[in-house]
Formats: sequence, C-alpha cells, structure tokens
Amino acid sequence: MNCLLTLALPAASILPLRLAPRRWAAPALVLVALLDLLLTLLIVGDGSRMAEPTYFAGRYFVLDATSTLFLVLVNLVFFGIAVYILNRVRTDAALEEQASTMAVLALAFVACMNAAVLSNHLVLMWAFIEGTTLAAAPMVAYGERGAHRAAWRYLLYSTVSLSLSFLGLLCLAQSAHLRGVELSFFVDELPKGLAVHGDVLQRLGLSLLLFGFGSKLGLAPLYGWLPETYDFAPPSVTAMLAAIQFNASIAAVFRVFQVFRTDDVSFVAQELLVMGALSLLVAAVQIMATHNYKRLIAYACVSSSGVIAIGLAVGRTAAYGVVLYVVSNAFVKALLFLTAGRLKSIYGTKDVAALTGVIKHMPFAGLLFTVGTFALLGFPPFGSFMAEMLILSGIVQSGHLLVFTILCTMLTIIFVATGRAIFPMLWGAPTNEQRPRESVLSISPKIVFVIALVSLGVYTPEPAVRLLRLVAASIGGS
Amino acid sequence: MNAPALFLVAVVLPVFFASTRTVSVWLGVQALALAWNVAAEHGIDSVHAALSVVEILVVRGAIATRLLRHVKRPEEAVDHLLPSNLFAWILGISLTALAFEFAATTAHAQTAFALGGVGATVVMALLLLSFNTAGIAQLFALLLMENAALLFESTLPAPWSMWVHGALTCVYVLTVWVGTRLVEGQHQEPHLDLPRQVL
Repeated sequence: MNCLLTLALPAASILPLRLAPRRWAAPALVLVALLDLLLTLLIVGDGSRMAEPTYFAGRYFVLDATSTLFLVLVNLVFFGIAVYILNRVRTDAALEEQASTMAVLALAFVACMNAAVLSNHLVLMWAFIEGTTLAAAPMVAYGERGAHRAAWRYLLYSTVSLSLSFLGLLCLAQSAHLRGVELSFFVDELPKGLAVHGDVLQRLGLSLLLFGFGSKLGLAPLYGWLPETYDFAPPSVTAMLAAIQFNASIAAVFRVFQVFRTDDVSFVAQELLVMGALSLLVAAVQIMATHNYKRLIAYACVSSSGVIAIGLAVGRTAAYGVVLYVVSNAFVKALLFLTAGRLKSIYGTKDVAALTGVIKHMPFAGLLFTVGTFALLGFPPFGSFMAEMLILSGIVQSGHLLVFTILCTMLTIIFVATGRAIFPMLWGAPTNEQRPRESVLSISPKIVFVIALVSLGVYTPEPAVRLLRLVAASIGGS
Repeated sequence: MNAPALFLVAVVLPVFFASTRTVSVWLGVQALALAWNVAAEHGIDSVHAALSVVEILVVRGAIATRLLRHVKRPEEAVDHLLPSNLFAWILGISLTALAFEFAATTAHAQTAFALGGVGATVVMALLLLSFNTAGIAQLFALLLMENAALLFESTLPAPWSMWVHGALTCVYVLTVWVGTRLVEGQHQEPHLDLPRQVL
C-alpha cells in the first residue's frame, strides 16, 4: 500500500471539514486521526520489510526504518491529541468555534508532518517542516493573551533557524559544484556527491544544517522561542509542537547523520556537544527560577533536547539510547502538556504556588501528572530511564568523562528543581473539596501514553526493538 | 545591469533608505529581478523555466506583494527599515563587503556575483532582524531570506524540479499570509475580548 495515503488522507479531509458544521469538527478530527493511524499500522505491518527502503513518487518519498518509526509515533500521538480536543469540546461547548478552525489547521499540520518524515529529498523535507510551522503558528495564536506575540516569535525563530539550515544546503551544493559534482539532495544519493574529507564549504554547510535543525529542537543558543510558545499556546497545540513537530526536526537531524558518515560527523560532534551542554545549563537555571508549571515542562523539553544532542555527538554506543529517548519523550511530553492543559482549565492558573493537593482533588489528572513528571525525570520503570542509562553508559564507554560529569550534574539540578516545584503542588491538602468530573475520554489517551512509556522501559515487543535498532544503526549505532 | 545586480539593488536600497510602508514595492522589484534571472539563465523555451518565471511573477510579484500592501498597522508606525545610525550602517556595509569577499574565494567567477548577492541578502535580513522589532520589517527580512534561496538556485548547474519549486512557492506565499495575519493580530490583540478557555 502506498505510504503517501497517510498524508493524502488528512490533506483531502481539510476542505470537507472546513465546510462541515462546527459541531462536527472535533469528532471528524478524531475519525481522520484514527483512520490515519490505522492506515499507518497497515502500511508498516510487522516492520519486517523495513530493512530495505521502498521509494514512492519518483523517489521523493521513502518508507524505511526512520520514516516508519516517526510515522507511527506521529500518528499515534496525534490521535491522542485529537481525542483530547474532542473531550474539551464536549465539556465546553463554547470551544466549538475554536475547534472548527483548529481542526483544519491540525490536519494541515499532520499532513505536512507525515510528508516531512517520509521525505527522501532534503529541500522538500525542509519545505514540509516549514509547512508544519506555518500550520502551527495560527494555532499558537489561539492561546491566551500574549499568544499572538508568542506565535509571531515562534514563526520568526523557526523561519530563521530553518533558513540557516537552508543556507547549509546551499553551501553543500556550492561545495559539490566546485568539485564538479552535481548534488541532487536525495538522501540516498547525497553521500555520493560529498567529499569524504569535506572542504570549508561542506563543513560550514553541515554545521549550518545541524545548527538550524537543532534550533528547531529548542537547543541553545536559539532556544528562546520554545518556553514562550509552549507556555502561551493552547495545551493541545503545545502537545503537537513538543511531541509531534519536535520529531520532524529529529528526523531531519537523523537524515543528516545518515548522509554524513564521513569524518565530518566527528567535526560536528563538537558543535552538538556545546549546544547540548549549553541547553542543559540554560534549562537547569531556568527551571530553578520558574513558578509556572507549563513553562517548567517547556524548560525540561530544552534539557531533553540537550540530552539528545549530547547522545548524538557521542554516536555509536549511545545511538540506541538516543532513539529510545526520542520515542519516550514524545509520549512524556504529550502526557504532561495535555494533563497541564486539564489542570489549567480546572484551576485557571499556571502558578505552582497557587495549586496544592491536586492528586486528592483530581486523582486521575494528578496521578497522570505525577507519572509524567517521574518519566520526565528519568525514573524507572519508564523508557526514558532506560534511554538515559544507555546514553550515560555510551558517554562513559566513549571516554567523554567531562561530558558525563556535566550531564549528571545538570540532570541532578533539574531533578531537584523540578521536584521542589511540582511535588508540593501535587500533594498536600486540596484547596477545593468538590471533585471535577474526569471522563474516560479525557484520561484514555493519556493511559495509552503511560502504557507505551512503561512498555518501552520494561518489555518492548520484538518488532519495535528491531525497528529501534535499525534506526540506531542508520545514525551510526553499533 | 544584470538580474542579480537588480536583485541586489532591490535588497540593499530598501534596507538602508526605505520605510516599512514600501516593502511590498521592493519585494515586487525583487520578484521581477528573480524572474529575469531565471529567464536569462535557463531561457523560457522549456516548460519548466517558463512555469518558474510565471510562478515568480504571479506568486512572489503579485499575490505576496498584494497581501503585504493590505497589512493593517498603527498609524504612527512609519519608520525606516534600518535605524539611521552610523553603527548599523557600518555594520551593514561591512557585512555586504564580506559576503562578496567570501563568494569570490569560494565560487567560480561566473557565479561569484550571484553567490555574493545571496550572502549579502542573508546578512541584510539578519541585520534587519537584529535592529528592527517592527513586525512588518521582520517579515520583510524573512522574505529576503526566502528570495535569497531562489537566487541561489540560479548558481546551480540544473534547476530544481517542479515539485521542489512548488513546495518553496507554497512556503513563500504561506509565510506572507500567516505572517501578515500575525503582525496584524499583535496590534489588535490588546483590544480583543479573548475567550477564557482554550483548547
């Protein structure tokens, strides 16, 4: 079955959804998300064919291990977010108008996402990632007061960082041109056009590519857009950005690593190490200072990007850990931001000091937030714990002891600062005795995310392990 | 004067001398220069080149500039793109010179000028982003970057396929559309009665 159906379905649903009555928007979004997920699972099958890539549409799109992993992840998380939107609309009819516009934009967003992860052409992939930004920016503007400014800054930062990536592509093309080679930008053909020991332009191109895509991940120094956007955007949009769009940028970084299996990777490893360490430092300081639980999770996302960058820089031994970390993080972020949205809708505040006894007042939401926080901090039995251990072990094996020390120190600071802010909010005496209703629809997608997280840490089915291993091997894993 | 030179003039002149009200005109001139460049480099005999020229003129030259012309902004927001101070000017001129110097050392003679133009456009865009916080000026800077990418294509031996062209065109026109809405939204937001609950 053609994998392009996964992007054609949401794209084709945009117009009918735009014309349909408002009250149908949220249920239709869930239906399209469910169909897209089922279609993805049908195409992917048991993953046995993933070792050999299959090309579509004149080689512009590819279904290989990397695209399979991100396609499943994106559509699974998107389905969970669609169910969250449906539940919010069911509990507050005033949100129908918002949901109508947001559903259209969300479908455009997920169509671009699927296209980006399936893309076999770097320029096309760049355009689709930019497409996700352009679909997400108006959704960010639907947030609370100040969201328009945050949306504008998000668009600005994203476009600038993606423009830097584009400049990187141009430098690569120019470098090849000077050697008399024509670069096609198809991921599978690109390595043939690159020099094993790159010249200044090739190295500059690679640096700019990773700097641009890295900034889209929220890596320092261009991280400023992330906490502001995640804070002001509606929770469902924050979850889309943190758990879905983040993966498009990760897929792009993986593609770059798959192309550059030469000396140049060790050259950019230093760049990634610096960006990763800087991101951890920034996140640690900001988490200590913030009193806003949504912003706190946003800074934790910056630290996660730092861990991923360091893991990628270390390479070989940490590669499997990085892939596992990326997958776990998608579920953690979706779980936390959706639950944070629920808390904000009930309490009307994002200030941690104003909240107490959440776990008694809202047992399900409180418990899910606790579980999400533990998973975020890398506790067992979650996949993030296993992933962090693998990355740390990879760092030690590769002899980067200074990096190991920095990473452990920063993670400890983040652990203490997050716990100090979040746990008093969860435990203690509730300020309000009357319990709000928590529907099955509200908690079911989050329960699925928790099951996935535990499964990644305790028992991962063989096809999933095989897929993770293939992706890890494609980015240089041993 | 050749096409890259006209493009460079349409980038550098507004940055140093124009006000935010005239950005759509300058983007129109840039589109004209880009279309001329494609026609000069690849001719308009092939369907691909002819479509590229039409696409640039219609989308970048007409639709995008029309969208920009209708952006609502506060009455008092008539200011220069780059502030009139010596530091900004020296920085701008030095960075432009550096871009051409870099292009001269890293490219063949026939593509060096166009590549220098690409570099100069990118540094002008970054300069604008650093010195001007007005939404419309920042949007102009983003569009400069996207136009620079199209100019760069002319330095490649073969143009990109229509798929890639189509994707880049969509990105350009959507950047203008979304950007103008957000720029307007920023001005209107303080006066709006926003809903208490969000999705």
